[in-house]
Amino acid sequence: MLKLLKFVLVTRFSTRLLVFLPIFAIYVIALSRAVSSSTISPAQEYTGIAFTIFMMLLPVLNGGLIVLKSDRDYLFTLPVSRRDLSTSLFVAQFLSFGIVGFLLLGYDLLIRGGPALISETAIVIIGLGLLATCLGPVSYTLSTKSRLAIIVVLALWSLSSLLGFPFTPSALFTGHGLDAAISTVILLAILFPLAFRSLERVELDVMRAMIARSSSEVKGQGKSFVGMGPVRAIYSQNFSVVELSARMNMAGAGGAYRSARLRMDRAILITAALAAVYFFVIFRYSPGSKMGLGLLSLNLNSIMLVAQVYIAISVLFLAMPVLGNERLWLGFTSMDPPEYLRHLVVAKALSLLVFISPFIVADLALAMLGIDGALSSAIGIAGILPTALILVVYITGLASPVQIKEDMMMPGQFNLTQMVLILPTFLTLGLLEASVLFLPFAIGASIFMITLMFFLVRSKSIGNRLIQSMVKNGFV
Amino acid sequence: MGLLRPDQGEVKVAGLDPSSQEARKISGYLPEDASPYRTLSVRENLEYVGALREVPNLKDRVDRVMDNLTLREYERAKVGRLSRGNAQKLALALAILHSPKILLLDEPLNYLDIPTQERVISILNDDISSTQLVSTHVMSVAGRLTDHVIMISRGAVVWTGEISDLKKLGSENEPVEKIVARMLTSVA
Repeated sequence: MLKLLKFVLVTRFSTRLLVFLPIFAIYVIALSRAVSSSTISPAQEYTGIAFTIFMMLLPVLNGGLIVLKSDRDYLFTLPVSRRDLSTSLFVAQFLSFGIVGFLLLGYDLLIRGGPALISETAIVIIGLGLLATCLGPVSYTLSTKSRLAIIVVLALWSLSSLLGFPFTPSALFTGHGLDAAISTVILLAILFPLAFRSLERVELDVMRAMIARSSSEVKGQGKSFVGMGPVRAIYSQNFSVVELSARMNMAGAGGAYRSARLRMDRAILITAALAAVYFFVIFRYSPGSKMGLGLLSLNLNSIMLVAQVYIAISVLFLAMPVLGNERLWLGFTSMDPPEYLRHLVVAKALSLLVFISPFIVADLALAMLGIDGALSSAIGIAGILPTALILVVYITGLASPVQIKEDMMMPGQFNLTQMVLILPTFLTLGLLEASVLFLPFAIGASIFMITLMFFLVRSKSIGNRLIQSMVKNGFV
Repeated sequence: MGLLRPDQGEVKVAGLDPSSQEARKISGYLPEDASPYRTLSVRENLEYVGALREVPNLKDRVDRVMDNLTLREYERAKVGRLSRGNAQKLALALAILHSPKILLLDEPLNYLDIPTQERVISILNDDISSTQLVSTHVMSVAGRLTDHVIMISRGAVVWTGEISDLKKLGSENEPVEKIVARMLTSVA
């Protein structure tokens, strides 16, 4: 059992990463003990609830196991005990989904403290890590519709804590620590056996998931590029569809991927619907609203901050396929490679701007209605996010690019460098959150980012270095 | 293909710098285990790459290439869901779409069934008037697709000549693979 566990871990995680994780855990826990307080602000409360939803949403949305192609071809065919194999895979899943998510996204959460007892907080936080671990294997063979239904139920259940419902893990942040801990344990008791059952028949489920994951044909007539020149084709391709890719773990770039493409006109309907909800919530609970405060008393700036966090996460999902789904032997050899790269990243950044534009419109409308912070939020989203996408693409591309060659499979070992590469996203989050609070900062940060991106995409030497990095990291 | 600079020496493609746009226009490339754009369909891949390469009469050219390689029934299929053989056919179609004068092929017959192998050999030998550089470990492929062989081991040229000359280096009825194995082993 120990030999198998060791084999499963070292084939998925680099030694440096395995050594680093406990050190980081000790640091986070020590920091939390040093700075935690017994009170919790509205912003902390909403972020905590949003984090709870995110921890459960991501594994269901991406779904899956951190399995390698060599597992399918070799490990799964070996006569090893199914129980030992499922236990080893569960530990690997926990290190990827649970621990990494807990360490990076839970970092901010841990140092908040709050009214709950330390024991209750520990049960819920560790429980959330285990829930994230279980939800992947449980949900990854389900259809997209089923997974979306689960996401909606889990999100509404978590949001119910805002209405005072105590039996949900997110109630930890609304003063119901014991009830939150009990809810987490009950949910885990249900999901644990299901997760292990899925892991015990892993080879069958991997094949089922690969066969059933989506339609085999593009919907409609597809996109035509006839009559277009090279540059127009690049921009047309990126404006007609939104490509999303997500790792099956929560940080870095080394986990397995699930990719999807949405037609831009349909994708924008989704963001428009979410922006409408955002607009309604802010407007409904604004101090001057004639609709009154109703059941809730919400802090508007805090809601904007949480919305910014979720919008910023879209940068990650849209940044991953920019290089990951690229093909050096096709696009990059059809014209001057740095020029192709430049058009590609600019097209992707503009595509992101269009994709999130409903939130900019919603913020501008709120600003016209006199809501504080809305104008700076609009400027922050428009100025910082598209340029941040380029920054993330360049940093990950120069340091450790990963080409997506097969869905549902890890492209290789998950290492410390890849995990650290999530930090630019936190920088983006910091810039965005500061932008909501200070209009001059929003303007200054936007100008800085746009200027930085201008020089970045214009630099032929940096472009060439990025392409060399792709070649050296096995891009075809 | 002009993506990397040589550590030493010089590379020319038809007398041109390989990183020049002129060299790119006349070159076609099929890497080993080639994977086209996974989120695009077969037709979208061909039209997108055709537009990037400014192929004239693109629609007709795409139709013709798909028909030649029996890809028509998969034209709307997402590449990520194609069989390995059909993905290889598409990769080959993408390499020859712009009728290149110089074609670099790395194991071009990998993953193809026998009838498709014969169709591809026929296309490469009869329908394409290009200089072809084929990299392969399979001597039968080298024999069917090339006139001239350069045998390389550990980065050095071991032997060069025609397949018929290579066969003469062995005894009568000795398989050419055995001859090659002997030559490469003696170098190692």
